[in-house]
Amino acid sequence: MNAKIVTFSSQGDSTLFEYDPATADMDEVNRVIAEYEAKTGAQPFDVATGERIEKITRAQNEVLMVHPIAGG
Amino acid sequence: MWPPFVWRRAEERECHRVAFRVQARVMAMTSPLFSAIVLVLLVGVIGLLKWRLILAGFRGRDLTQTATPPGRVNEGFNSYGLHVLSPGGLSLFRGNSLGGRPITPRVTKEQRAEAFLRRILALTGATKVEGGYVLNVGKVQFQLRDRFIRRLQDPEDPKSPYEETCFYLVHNGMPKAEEIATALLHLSNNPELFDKWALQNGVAFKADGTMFDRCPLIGLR
Repeated sequence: MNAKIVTFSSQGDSTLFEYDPATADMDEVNRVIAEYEAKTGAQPFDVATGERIEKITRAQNEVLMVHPIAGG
Repeated sequence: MWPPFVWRRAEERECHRVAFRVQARVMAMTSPLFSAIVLVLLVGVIGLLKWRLILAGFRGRDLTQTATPPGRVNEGFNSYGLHVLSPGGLSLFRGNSLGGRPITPRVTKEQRAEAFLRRILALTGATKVEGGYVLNVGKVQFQLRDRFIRRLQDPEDPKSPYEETCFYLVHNGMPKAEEIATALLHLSNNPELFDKWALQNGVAFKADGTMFDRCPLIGLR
């Protein structure tokens, strides 16, 4: 079963990309995530636990990129 | 003795005659061969087309008989065997109209957002109360409504002091349910974010509390 990285957007929840956790290069996955965070400010959360994660491992099947919030 | 130009004309005529004869012979030899090749090619193409049509018929029958048991919708795979995902990760071919089965209504982004919000509510332990959402983190209670958050220090005490702030997502256009889900995830992981939102209007913060200085809406509000 593929793992997927999702995010909330103006189109509703969208899958950013999918990968096979058994074979994927997790460094590459984390590099893409880091680039996405640098661009949007979104940080990864494990959808299974609802907790923010520093680094994505093979244990996560679904990761939600949570966007920044401003007060106002 | 013939004059030279008459002799040349006679020679040219003879040449033409010989060339015509050779051409006629070649034509006579090649035209049946050419016709035969064209005929064989045509028969071959027709045969191939027939074979493909028959094969396609068998494949179609196999798909309907084995891949999808009667009365069940073939989830996730379309008639080409491809797994097609919508933006929300839902199959676009759930209701296969070609198979004569009932069509599942298309799920809108708002409905998907509501479904995702329900997952986040379950994860964070938040509840929906009178059009708003209540999240308890330790002794503190957050009450969320559309772009509006209230923090109660002691939810048991109706006279307990409370603070309020507005919030917004730096990337516009997200369904309301996903805005609420985002705020719930932020607060359940890092309740101190509320103070930052309340004190620093218009400054965006990431979930870990660090400032996001590339906010596209900075200066617009």
